[in-house]
Amino acid sequence: MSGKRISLTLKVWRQESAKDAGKMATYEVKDINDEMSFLEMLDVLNEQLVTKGERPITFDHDCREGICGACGFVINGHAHSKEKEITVCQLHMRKFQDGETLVLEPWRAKAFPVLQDLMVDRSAFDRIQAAGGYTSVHTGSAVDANSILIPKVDADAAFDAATCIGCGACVASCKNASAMLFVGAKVSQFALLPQGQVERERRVKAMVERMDAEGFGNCTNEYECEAACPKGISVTNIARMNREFLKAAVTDQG
Amino acid sequence: MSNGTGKFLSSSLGKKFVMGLTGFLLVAFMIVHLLENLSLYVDVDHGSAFIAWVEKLHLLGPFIWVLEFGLALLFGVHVWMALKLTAENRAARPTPYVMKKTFGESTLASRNMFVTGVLILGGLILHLIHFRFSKGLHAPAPADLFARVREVLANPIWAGFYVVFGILVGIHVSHGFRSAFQSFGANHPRINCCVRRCSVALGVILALGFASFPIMALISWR
Repeated sequence: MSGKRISLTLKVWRQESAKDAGKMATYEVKDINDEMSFLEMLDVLNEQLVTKGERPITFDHDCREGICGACGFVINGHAHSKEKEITVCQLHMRKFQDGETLVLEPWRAKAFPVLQDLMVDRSAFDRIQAAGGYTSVHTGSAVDANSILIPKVDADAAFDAATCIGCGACVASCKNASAMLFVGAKVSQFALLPQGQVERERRVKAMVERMDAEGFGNCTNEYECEAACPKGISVTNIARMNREFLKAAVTDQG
Repeated sequence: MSNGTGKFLSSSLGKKFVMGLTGFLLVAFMIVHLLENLSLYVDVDHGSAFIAWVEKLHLLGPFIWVLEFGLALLFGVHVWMALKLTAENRAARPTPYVMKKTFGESTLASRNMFVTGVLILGGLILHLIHFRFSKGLHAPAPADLFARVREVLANPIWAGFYVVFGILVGIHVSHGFRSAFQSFGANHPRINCCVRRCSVALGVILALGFASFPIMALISWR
């Protein structure tokens, strides 16, 4: 590695468990190569903490290439950082200045309880998905290609909605900790396609009901979620969910 | 109320829908109210056009009570939904961020909907005491109402109060109007730009419109 070397002050949220109150702790990280990723920088800090006999900072991560949705925390007040359309694992240290102070916090939402430090429990999203985020499909012999024709605009819009990785940045950035962008995307990706029609009404009602039961807030239409989404998912998906929900309330028999 | 309707109204999306719908109807009322008030400019000293308009309203007889009840119901539902939604939103984030920044479309108006809403409600109560209930439960006679308008607005303190009241209404509507479109699911590139501009324009028109009467009063009636 041949990058510039920088030093930073990190203020990190430390919390032992879900029951612990938690507090900010300050760490100095020195001589960081600016070609490192942000998570690699935290790996370096954690190695130093382990060497000193302290507990390393807990944070979620998996693929480290922005596609799995595992990582995510708030850096200086922005979910996944102030850079547009990236997850925290895609963030590089060259985006920061030498001597900068960074505040690292977990997603803050009642529905996302902190498990430890920067790691939160996002199983509320799994339960919303389980409530209706699936389709009934023919599982017998292989279906002929192109037997179901889908208009290009619908296919594109469904795909855009389906790029949601469920990281939770929408909830984290919303002032009401609302999950509407996530649920809107999940409802939309199926509502737009022929395969999603079987459970269409039942799906939106079940997913919204689950979302409400999990304790997420309501949408105030400030679109912070869209600005924070690493996949650039549009709030038009929330509007589609609103339409689907209204239609389902009128037409669904179940 | 069927079970389905109850479920819709108790859901997060249903509540936002009701919020938007009642807000829309209240905006429609305020536009009519503003148009009515504009009649004050026709005959500033004697208010003949204003009195004529109010006399026409009195011709509605008992039906005016139905309209007043409907209007009170709209306000009541709007306020009730606001309280419920705000309480839920506060509960959804029990631990605040140490540092939080916005970079979406958050505005002064959108961030303070609850604050402006509470202030407008307080202002509305005073407004009703000033004019609607100035003679007790029954609405004052048209000429008495005009005299009361002159008396209240000629007072610089109340004139200032009504200027602020008008501006608060404008700020509240400038976010509420466009927000309601999204709550109804009306989000499309073809209309979004127009909705945003209309929302701001409506807020400015209501603010300037309502604030203009106390200013006129200070100039003409003192």
